[in-house]
Amino acid sequence: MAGQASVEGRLFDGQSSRPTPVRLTVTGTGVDVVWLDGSDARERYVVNALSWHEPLGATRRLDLPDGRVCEVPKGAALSQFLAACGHRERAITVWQGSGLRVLIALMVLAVVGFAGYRWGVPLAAKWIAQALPDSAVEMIDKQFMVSLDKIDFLKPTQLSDEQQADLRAAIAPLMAARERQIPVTLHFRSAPQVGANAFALPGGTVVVTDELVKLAQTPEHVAAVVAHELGHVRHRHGLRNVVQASILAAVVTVWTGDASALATAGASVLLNSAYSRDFEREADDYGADLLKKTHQSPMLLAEMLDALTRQAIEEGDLTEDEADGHWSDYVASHPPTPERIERLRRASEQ
Amino acid sequence: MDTNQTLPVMGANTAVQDELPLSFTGSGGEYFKIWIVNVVLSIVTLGIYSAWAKVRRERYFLNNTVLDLSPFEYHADPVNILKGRLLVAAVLVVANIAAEFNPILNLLVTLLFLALLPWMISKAMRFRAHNTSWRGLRFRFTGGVGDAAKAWVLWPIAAAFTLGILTPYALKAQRRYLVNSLHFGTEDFEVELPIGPIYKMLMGAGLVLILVASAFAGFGVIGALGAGGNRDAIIGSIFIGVLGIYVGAAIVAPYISVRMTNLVFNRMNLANHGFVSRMKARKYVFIVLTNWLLTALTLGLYRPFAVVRLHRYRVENIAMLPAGSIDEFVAQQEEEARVLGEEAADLLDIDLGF
Repeated sequence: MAGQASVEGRLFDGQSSRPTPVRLTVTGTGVDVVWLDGSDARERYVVNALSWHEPLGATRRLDLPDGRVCEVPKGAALSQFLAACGHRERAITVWQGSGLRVLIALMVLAVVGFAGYRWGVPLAAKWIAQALPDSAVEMIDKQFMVSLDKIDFLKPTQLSDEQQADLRAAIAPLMAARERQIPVTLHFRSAPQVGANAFALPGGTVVVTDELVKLAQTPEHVAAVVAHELGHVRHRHGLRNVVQASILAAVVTVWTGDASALATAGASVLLNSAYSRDFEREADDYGADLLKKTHQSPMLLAEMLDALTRQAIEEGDLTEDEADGHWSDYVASHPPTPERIERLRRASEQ
Repeated sequence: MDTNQTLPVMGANTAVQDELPLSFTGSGGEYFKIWIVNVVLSIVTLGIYSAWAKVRRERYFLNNTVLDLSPFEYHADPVNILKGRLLVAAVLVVANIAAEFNPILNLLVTLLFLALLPWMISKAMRFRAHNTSWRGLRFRFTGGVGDAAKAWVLWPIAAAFTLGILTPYALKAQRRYLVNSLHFGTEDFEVELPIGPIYKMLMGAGLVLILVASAFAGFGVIGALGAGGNRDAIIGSIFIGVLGIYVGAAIVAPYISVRMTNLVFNRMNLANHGFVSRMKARKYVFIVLTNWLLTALTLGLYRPFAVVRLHRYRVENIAMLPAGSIDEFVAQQEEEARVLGEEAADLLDIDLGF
């Protein structure tokens, strides 16, 4: 028998946990299985009748006919035996056995991860958000406004009826100039906690704070900010933001394997803020477009942005450095104001 | 007499060992390679491969978990796992979208989930046990939906109504369900849990949670006072207090897990064989926390090493106390009834706790 590859293993018959030592030997045409328990029982199989499991543990499992299994320790003897059998490992075993191929997998992962983050997630969110019917999105808005009012985040407006009418008159042409006439509800609210601001909910609800109106020199300036918010409404940014955040949270959770809810939330907020900067640019462009259609200058919006920034610096919420947007580029939810103003200036000159 | 006939029995019969420790023969580096290939293939197949990935992950951990020279084996068919995942994913997506639009629907979805939870737990345990074997003999799980409902719905509700006083009974019912419905071959696993140690453990955990949370809240208040008590500082201090609760929970959750595992194993038996688990709570919590830290610092790449590290610690502190030869287990002869949709619950991936 010299020169023939053989291994020893333990055979289990599927009926009891009692091991039986066996020796497997490669012969000319197949494999001899010899019982080493003193019975000298012998069975012969062609090589293909034996099915080897993926080598994941310290022993390798071999299935024999009739539900019997054989455990063979890994090592040089088994490698020789398998070579003599002409056994070929599956592609997956080869891949994860080689350092170079694992490195390639890692690089593929990095590329796919980046592309998915930069383009895949926004695209998926856009698609999902656009697919939702208008009525459903309006429903979300109503609920959201009710809860904002309820927690006193927003208070009834202090603006006089006359002021409101002026503002609505300034905004009306912009509304009319839109290509896609999504119904928009405009609300004025006092919001001392938030300060000068305006925001849009996904379904066409736009809220303007009294503080913003006070900051603006003319009703047309307020209207310019509303034009920007109409851009958010048109592109369903609010909804896309929610969808993107959900996708990111799911991906981070799967990737880090639960971790803690807090870490997951933190990571996805951080990752999501880059998308929201894209949204601001998109809304700025839309706003500039509307202003030009109504024969106004996009610089109205630029002036408002400038005024908002200056106010934030005066109140100590923002330093000059932050306003320039040097360090905050990666975490800020809005692009740096100078960049936005420059963009609007270019739009106004076209 | 032909002496050869008696040899097989004698040959297999070795002296009874005092302890049969579980050992783990895998390594973080080895699992990293399997994991990264799994992740890449799952991504490029848009998640379809994840079912195969799960089988290979389970196989890696079970094949490297060795008792008395023999590894555990995992037999699940990836196609069954995939079917289950698709079904549950579809239900989750529909339920979440429905819940987004309407608070009443949201409540309904929650109730539906509560109603389905026991069913899913029972099926998941069945699926997992049935697909796990050692020395060619399968495990079986016979726990029904009713008992799962008692342990995961009724007892927690009772605990909530008593402000947590009955929580230990819920924990006890859950562990009893998981262990006492488990069988290996023709033999049964059994555990009888005393309630006293669970109360003591939970009170200890509650104390740690309160201490950590109030320490954080204290820092927050000092910070707020230092900043002159303006609005932002107060909001900041509340945030730090909430953070404290999270940090406390991060410490307490693994603490409860390790203490319950020790308690269960030390009182569990399979036929007349006993078990022992010697994990140290502090060491275990240390491993869990440093695993999180390293996983965060490496943007998730440490994850496979973390999983192996924790699994190794658990496995290598568990041993079987054999009362006699462990070669005498025999297979259950009756044909296993395939339960319809049992694989659907596999997505939940309920951790047995050992």
